[in-house]
Amino acid sequence: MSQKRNISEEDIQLKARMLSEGVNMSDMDLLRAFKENSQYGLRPFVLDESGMQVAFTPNKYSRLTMTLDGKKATVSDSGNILGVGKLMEFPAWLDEPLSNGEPALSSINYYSPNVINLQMNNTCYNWKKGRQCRYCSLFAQNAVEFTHEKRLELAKLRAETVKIAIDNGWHGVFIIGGGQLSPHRRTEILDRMEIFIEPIREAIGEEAFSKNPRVINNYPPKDLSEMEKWKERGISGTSFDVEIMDPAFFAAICPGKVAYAPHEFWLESQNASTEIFEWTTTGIVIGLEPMEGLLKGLENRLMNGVLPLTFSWLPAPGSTFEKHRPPNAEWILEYANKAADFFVKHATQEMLDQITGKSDNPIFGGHQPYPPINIVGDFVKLRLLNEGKK
Amino acid sequence: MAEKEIVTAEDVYAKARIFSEGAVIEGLELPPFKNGIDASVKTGAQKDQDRAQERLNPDQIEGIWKMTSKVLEASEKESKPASAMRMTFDGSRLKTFVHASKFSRLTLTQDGDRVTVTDGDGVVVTGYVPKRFDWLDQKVSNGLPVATFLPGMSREIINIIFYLSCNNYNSGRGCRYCNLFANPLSKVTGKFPMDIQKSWAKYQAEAVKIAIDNGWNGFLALSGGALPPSLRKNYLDFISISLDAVRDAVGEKKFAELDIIYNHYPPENLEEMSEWKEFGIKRTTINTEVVNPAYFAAICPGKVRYKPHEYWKEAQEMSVKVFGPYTNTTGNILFGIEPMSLLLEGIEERLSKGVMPRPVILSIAPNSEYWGFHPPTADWIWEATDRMAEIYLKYIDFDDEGAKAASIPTLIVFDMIRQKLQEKG
Repeated sequence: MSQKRNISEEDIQLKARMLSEGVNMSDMDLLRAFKENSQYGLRPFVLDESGMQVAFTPNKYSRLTMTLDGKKATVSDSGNILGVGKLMEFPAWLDEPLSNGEPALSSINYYSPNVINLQMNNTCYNWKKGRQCRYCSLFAQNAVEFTHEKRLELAKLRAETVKIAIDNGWHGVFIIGGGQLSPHRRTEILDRMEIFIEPIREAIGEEAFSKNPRVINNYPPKDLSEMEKWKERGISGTSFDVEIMDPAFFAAICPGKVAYAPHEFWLESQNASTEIFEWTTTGIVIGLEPMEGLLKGLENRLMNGVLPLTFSWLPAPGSTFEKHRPPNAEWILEYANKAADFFVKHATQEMLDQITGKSDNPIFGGHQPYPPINIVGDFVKLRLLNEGKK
Repeated sequence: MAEKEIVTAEDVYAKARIFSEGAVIEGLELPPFKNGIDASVKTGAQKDQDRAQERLNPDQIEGIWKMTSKVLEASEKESKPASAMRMTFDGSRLKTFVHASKFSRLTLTQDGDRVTVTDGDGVVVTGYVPKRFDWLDQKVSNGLPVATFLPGMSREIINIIFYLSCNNYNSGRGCRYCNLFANPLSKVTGKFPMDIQKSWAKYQAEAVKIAIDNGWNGFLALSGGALPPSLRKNYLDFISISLDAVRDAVGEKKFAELDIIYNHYPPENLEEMSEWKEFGIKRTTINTEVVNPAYFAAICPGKVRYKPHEYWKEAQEMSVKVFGPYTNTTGNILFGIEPMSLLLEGIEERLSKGVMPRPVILSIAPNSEYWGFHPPTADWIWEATDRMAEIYLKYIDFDDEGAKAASIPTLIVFDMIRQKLQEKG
């Protein structure tokens, strides 16, 4: 499942086009096949030669088309084959039944070979207030908050799932996230983390627990020293996702986040996290703000020891930006090319190993996180590969 | 008697697709898709501009106009058709721009002035390229063509550019989608030399006279780049230079008939708008560009630095008092940058105050900061336009004056309004 093989420029170009243009999937059987077992949108396409994973959206007006022959998927443009691969396959253990009779996959929010996402809460205060991040669809429809009892029940089932995962050789990071808590619930964040973390620790034992980091992926505490308590309670790192690098665009795209704290505070909280935790990352959505500000911000984060995880924006159904379109493939490539420069210039070796999927140990289990929507990692990998050849 | 121009839903949807997706324009070569990049950003015309920048000498004004003319000519040959080719649909006579896109499924083929847009084997729409005005090649008194002094002119509008530089663009705070001042002339100096401006006004006025003498009959939009803070108090002086030149060129009687629109920043003192009528101004278009204050700060950092979003809206409301509502007080809004819910809410709010927003479909200009970004999908454009049209019909009686819903290449809402009105009979 991991990307161990070499990638080529053509692979990256195809990925950029699929991220930008989506794929015409008028064949309903094809669409159904890609939707099967997928938690968000479509199952990624995995290129045969490089193992590169590519996320995409169905787009009836895309010039790119896909055919499926058994497990073999082919992407073409006007009859020219651009890539051959297959649907991303899920490990069989995700179908193993839990104590409630449901499959393991049903208890978690997102699975990948290197990430299991566990949400602490099932609603987002920003959505309730109409201040949701414009690209986000996570809590768009019929979201009902977990009761305390539901949380305890879910924590038990998730611990069972994680045990199954570990027993089957899964190695990665637990992302503990969720929507923005309402103001009167924000003090409960530590307790909520613990509800989900402790059963996992008990289920898999201290040794396995220590090998698979737990990262808080939510809002920074107003009192940044609280992160010390988080560490004491078993948290290994943070991902306070600032999403957007230009403060003015941050206010426009993430009105709920800016209502909580200004852009500068989010950056400060990341800087503070680097002092406390071994790993500090931030999610950045690319394709929503002009490139210059984006790259400037990216470089700033790297120079402060924060690993930017840059994700290509795919307009999600249910989000405010549904039916908007990402930038064109050339923009995506130009961005990724320039971002790769900054990574090569500023990132630590550990970060580079991380982003290129070479590392065997630390966070993200030695894989680049969320590979289908991350193209910078592919570019860095290609760059290092080319330099090595020189 | 002219055939009635029936606008169908298919026509409007075709325009939405063309704007959203652009087209592969047969015969037009774009830089190949490759990894190296910059190929997409710097066209040959832009490289010409870069070279021109190095050679500009503010003391040799006529030399500047010669160089400008050459750059425009090169740009017209290369990047202009690539970034926006104008066409008119058969039947409905809807007007649109077709932007070149190497990744589009739509293909545009041209045979003489006939144009066909296809999607695979299916014809999406046929039409024609409007004939270019011959008089654009006539010469003003320095021997250069009229086209040099009327950049961006159309059948509907001639821009009277009263300040040739944009302080926002020059200071890195240009509106993100705009490339109007991404040219060497704009960057000549922090304060644009008055001699150059006066010379421009003279030739621009001569060009306007030639246009009018040849039957051109549209709006004169008083526009230009953002003035540096130290010159803002002098904005009426700059306007006077340009308008006096036009008055001298066309004569007092004709000047009084001209439909002059103020299309620039609101003044520091809104009461001054009452004095604008004395200059011959009959309407205003004060562009907030977006309806949401947070977007205003993000998309138009230079405009917000001058005054907050709320002030720009107040200026529009003052214009309603001074010049009258709706067609006399308009304001451009970029259609496709903001979320639909915010956009519709903002449009209705403006209409309720007597201001008629002109939702200009987002088209990203080469060399702007948003170059490479896309407008939303045709489905989004269709849904937003449909809902917007209903809001406009709630506030404005379009039956009263059909011209209010005339087709404009960069706008789609008025096409939808016409379609709805025709459907209702």
